[in-house]
Amino acid sequence: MNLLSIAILAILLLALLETPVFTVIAALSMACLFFVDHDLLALQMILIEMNRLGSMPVLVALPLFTFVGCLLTETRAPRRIMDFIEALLGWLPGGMAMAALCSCAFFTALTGASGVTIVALGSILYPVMRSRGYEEKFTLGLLTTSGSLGLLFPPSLPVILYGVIAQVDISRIFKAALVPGILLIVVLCGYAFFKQMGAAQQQQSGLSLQRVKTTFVAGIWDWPVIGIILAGVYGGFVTIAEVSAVVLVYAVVVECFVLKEVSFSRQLPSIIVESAVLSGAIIVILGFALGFTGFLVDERIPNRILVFLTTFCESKWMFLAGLNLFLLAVGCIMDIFSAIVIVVPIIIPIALSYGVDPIHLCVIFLVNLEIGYSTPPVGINLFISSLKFQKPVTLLYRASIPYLLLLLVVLVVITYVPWLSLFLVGL
Amino acid sequence: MGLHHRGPMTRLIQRLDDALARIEKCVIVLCFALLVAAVLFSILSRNLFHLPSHRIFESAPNLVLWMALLGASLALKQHRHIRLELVLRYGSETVRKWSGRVVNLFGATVMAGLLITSIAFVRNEIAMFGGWGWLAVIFPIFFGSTAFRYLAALMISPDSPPTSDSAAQGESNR
Repeated sequence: MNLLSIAILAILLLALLETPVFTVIAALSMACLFFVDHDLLALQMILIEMNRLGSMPVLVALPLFTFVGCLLTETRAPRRIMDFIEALLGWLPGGMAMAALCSCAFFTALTGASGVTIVALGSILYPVMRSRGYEEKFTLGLLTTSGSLGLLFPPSLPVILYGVIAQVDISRIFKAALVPGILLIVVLCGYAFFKQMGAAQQQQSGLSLQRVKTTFVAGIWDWPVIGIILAGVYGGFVTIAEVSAVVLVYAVVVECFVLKEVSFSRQLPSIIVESAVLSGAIIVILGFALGFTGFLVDERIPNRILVFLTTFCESKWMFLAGLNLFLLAVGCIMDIFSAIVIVVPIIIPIALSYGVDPIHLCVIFLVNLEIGYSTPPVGINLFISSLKFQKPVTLLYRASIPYLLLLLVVLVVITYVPWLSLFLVGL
Repeated sequence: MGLHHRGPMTRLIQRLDDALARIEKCVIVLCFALLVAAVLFSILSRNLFHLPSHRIFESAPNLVLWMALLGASLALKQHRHIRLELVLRYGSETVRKWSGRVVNLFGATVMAGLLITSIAFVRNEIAMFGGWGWLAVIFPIFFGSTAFRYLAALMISPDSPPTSDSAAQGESNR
């Protein structure tokens, strides 16, 4: 075993001791670059690659959308949107569960971090659902798995990051991910509907058009946020960075000066700092990973993996099955942002050589990671829910299983029916 | 443990850390305001006045880089960096304490190594690009502050285990 192998093993051991991921990748880059040439000058490559971040205009969207998510979290906007969805769907069997799923998806699309969704919306939704007679196991499973729904919808930060890393048009990814994202929600809503259809104990009232109207009007200032994002991303007349800036200005004007839910002078600076902390923790990983993946590509690591893989399977469909298993495991053990910056540059050349469309690959990748978040035994959503709701993690394993099985079925459909992801892109 | 129970050196480090955080927060707010202004000016000048604005739009990612690195440094102070939280949650308190020490020492060493490298890098950038090269000064600032924060964590609270739930921690830090 040479020195480089020992260093890599030691660093991976330190990663298991919860060393921040950016430090782990920085150390891996240093070890790989130094031990190949035994030259300290080679470490400059890390800085050169990090400095490349300063020439990526699309990167501007990350902190700006993060800010919008942080700003809206401080307001009553999520509550207003949830009230409207509940007024629309709440009268159906399982309607409150459907409203919870849609609200979580909306919130996750804005914040990008599923843990935050469980922490922020879980405290509102859990007592409401329990008071409406939903079983504890059903409620816990729903809130745990829906904590990562919505990662496929604009302005999802993982999609933007994937586009940056894979050099794929972000608007095209959002178009491709729209139908699979909706399909995931529809399937879970269908499960809630059929599961609750016979549950007599739920307090359901009929559809009240008056309540729909009232809740819609209450959120009248919130709808343009969604409208601007959708028009900007799917319309294609402005760049993603420009959309983020326009949404930001609208949100600040509305929340600080129209609704006055956030103080411009007292709260806004701390929200800016909060969004810088959140986006900084992602971007710094991206910066170090650029250097590390540059080394992997120089050393032809993806090619070696490809040669190894092709000795086992030559079929594209077999490769996709193996890829799904691998990505589910990655989603289980890694944060989505780290997974994107580390894994994407390695799998893209391999998947392309198997004839997988890069946009379709992105959708498969993100759906896997979305499911991996709630997959036992170590999916992070399970532990966040366990902490948040003060329930044993084994209960959450059992509670999540029905939802996971359904999500896995949808994953298989998304994987083996590429048309589902690609037909909107071609329009 | 309250600050008044600690030695003078620990208190000094804590105060330095807090002062550094205040400066970082001010620069972040400034960078953010400049970033939004730059992107909006770019949109308006292109669409309303039909003026070329590539230069402004291309400089925006540099502001993002500054903001992100300062934010990442603050994230270290607040224990909010992304970690692989797989094993330690099952470990005893003693294991968590010792792993915290090892991680802080390791982090300080890595960042100190990169600090030295980045100083040479900035010199090269200034030699090549003149005034624009100074934009790269954020790298030694970032590596210096993170090395300091890893060391500070080791000295101020050597027994503090790494956070077990970054998301929940993030929520509590708001």
